[in-house]
Amino acid sequence: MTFEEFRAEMDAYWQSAKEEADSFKDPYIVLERLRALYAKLDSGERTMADRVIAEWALEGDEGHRSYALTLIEDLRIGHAVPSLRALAERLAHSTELGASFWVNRATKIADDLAKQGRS
Amino acid sequence: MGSILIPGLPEAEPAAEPWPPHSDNVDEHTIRVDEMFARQLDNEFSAGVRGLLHHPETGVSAQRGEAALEAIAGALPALNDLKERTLSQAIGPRQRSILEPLIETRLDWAAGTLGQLAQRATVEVDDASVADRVAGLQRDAATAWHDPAYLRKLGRTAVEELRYQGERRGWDPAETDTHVRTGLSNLYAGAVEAAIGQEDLDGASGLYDHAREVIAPERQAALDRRFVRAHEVALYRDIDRDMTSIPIEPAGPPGAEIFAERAAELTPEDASDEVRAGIAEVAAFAQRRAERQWQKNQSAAGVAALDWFGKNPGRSFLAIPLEIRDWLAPDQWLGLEALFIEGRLTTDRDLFEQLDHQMIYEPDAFAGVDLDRHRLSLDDEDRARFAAAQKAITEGRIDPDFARYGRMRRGIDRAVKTLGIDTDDPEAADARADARDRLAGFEVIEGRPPNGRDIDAIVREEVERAGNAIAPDANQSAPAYAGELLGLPDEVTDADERPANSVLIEAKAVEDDGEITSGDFAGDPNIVLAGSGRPPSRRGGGAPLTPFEQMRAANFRTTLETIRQLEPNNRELSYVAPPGWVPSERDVARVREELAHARQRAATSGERPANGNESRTGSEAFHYTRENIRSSIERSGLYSGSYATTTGALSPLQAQIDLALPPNRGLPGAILRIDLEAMRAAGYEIPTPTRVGRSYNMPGGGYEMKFPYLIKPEFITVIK
Repeated sequence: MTFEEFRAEMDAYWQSAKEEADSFKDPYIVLERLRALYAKLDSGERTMADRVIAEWALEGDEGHRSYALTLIEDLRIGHAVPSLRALAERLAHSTELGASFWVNRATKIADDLAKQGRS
Repeated sequence: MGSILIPGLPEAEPAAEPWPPHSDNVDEHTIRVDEMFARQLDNEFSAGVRGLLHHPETGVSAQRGEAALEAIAGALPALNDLKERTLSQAIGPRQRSILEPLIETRLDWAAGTLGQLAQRATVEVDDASVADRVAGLQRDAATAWHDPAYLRKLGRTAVEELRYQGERRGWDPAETDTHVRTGLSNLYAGAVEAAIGQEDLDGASGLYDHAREVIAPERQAALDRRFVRAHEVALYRDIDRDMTSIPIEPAGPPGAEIFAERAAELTPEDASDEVRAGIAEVAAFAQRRAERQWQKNQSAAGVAALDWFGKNPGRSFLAIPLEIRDWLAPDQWLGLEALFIEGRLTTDRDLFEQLDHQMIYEPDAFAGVDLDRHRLSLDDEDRARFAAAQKAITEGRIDPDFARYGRMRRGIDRAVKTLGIDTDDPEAADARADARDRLAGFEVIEGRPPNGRDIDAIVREEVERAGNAIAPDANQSAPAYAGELLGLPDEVTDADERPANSVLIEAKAVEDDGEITSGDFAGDPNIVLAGSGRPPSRRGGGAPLTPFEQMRAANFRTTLETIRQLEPNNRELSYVAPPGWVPSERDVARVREELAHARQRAATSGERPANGNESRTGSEAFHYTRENIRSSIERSGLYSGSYATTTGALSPLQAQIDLALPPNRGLPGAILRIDLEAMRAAGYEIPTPTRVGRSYNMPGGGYEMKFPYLIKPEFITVIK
């Protein structure tokens, strides 16, 4: 499976989980589903999944971004640190509502991951 | 000397007798006897000839055509045989000399008759051969209708055949002409009909225009009708064919409106009402077909996913081919995930209960259920059980196991209803499951199949157990037998039966856990202490409420609270209840009905609810959620799509009921406060609360607001 195909699969899975979450009035179902999916992936697939999640973190869509940051934090996806830094930089001067929250959160997660990487 | 023939006796070879000498001994009497015998033999011969020629079933004259000719050919030898047999019976030369001329005369007549019959048969055979020939030409014309030159050749041949037939038959010119015109008309009309039948309406029209003048008017009228009908059929077919190209996507079957729109586009402007109605039918049919195909695709995907799992152990389900995965519905995904996690199929209990109910109460509909669609949601044993039941229903036979289970399930359902338990409730489902297990193991344990009494005993015991589950007081356990349940006294709820020495308490007296504590209402003007009440019908005091009773009590309270908002002085807001009283289903139904009336009155009078706080966005909102995700929310906020309500005083059970939360995800044990004031100040637009409708078998009735954005942790405070 190429990365593009894998990304399409992940997007489709996210969409499916989102629909389920909407029907149950519980957005956390998306997170549960994504975690369950990640747990079933082999190492090669996880590398691709990490890339996709890092991309989600950079998306303008707050929905993708919020789940991505939680996944990066929970799953300790070190490869996503550059994306988090880029997100923080992009939103630092943004007038978007709640931009500072995202800057702080992305920066904190990136710092924690970097620290773990060094230790 | 003569002899008399006696039927049944063997005939002796007649001895050669000398011609009787002319003497005085030959008397007149002897001559008369010979004449008499000769006449008798002649009569017999005559009867034989008549039978041979004119018997109504086997005679030559009864035959037609070639069969008649064959019969004629066989008649002459038969007549000769008959003649010889008859002559051989003559005794003496005098009898023979008298008989022979008589027989010859009759044979001449028979030969003449046979000649006439032969002529008639020949004509018949000739006519049949011409008819066959012309029919063959017509068939050739139907096959070669698109070849005008060959058609003309066939037409000419038919005309020649028919004219020659006329000559042979000696028809006059007018009769011959009539036959020729009819034959030619049939030939060309048949060719046009063949063209229509092959759905080449343009070709058929061209041929019809060309051949119209030789086709009889009545055939023309028939052809005109066929053309009209064929054009309609072609239109329907084209529309139907077009509609097969409407894509069937995994997201859902194409809706009726898509087919209706396409039909409208394809309907000719000058179409009659009848044709428009026909097109609508075609569109409806095409939509049903698409729905069936969509369902079939889902079923096939479920089966294919299971097959794939069997053939690819240990692989990620992301590797399942797209054409399978795309078609899997959410419930199939859940089943698939369970399969990957547990390594085996597991039965979805809700689905099981639904199918089980349908199997007993709607067997015809159940027999048509596509079990493949639920392949990933039923384990092998349950699937085999349902499949066996479907087979028995379809074959119209009585399966003993199925019949026993039907009796048992109906008995349990009747009994739990009488206990005030809905047959969809977990208690009822548990009772059925236990009874099912006992029924399944009965024969193994007892060494014989269960009979009616055994089944009734199982029903009785399981219902008793279910009754005790909701009425755990040993002194007030559920009645011992389903039939006795019908005799249960009503609970003390009816105003007419209120004892004077009862406690009149305010509706909110029923707390979340169902316990009533009069101390909570000290000083409340709505509480009138009036002494002790009649003992509760089912519960003693002090025993903890079952979840079922808690839910019912919470439902009762929620409904009264809603009534209070609409009509603070509603008579239902005060009711009589003894200590420990728990509302029954009837009580809940009654206050629900009263709520409906109150709503109707409010709508009619245009009055606003006396207390509309719940429907307005205030300074805070509340999010009820599972305890295990509370820390995640504190860290990352509430994701977009989260819901909140306007009141923070709901118990977990009440929140589940009022907010119609799905029961399979656990009670919302955590409560978070959302600071709406701060969010407004920060620039967020706060969604308007809306009434929660009935969902997941929960009545709803509370208010909810859905946030289309992430609510940041800074606006959230954990209450519980």
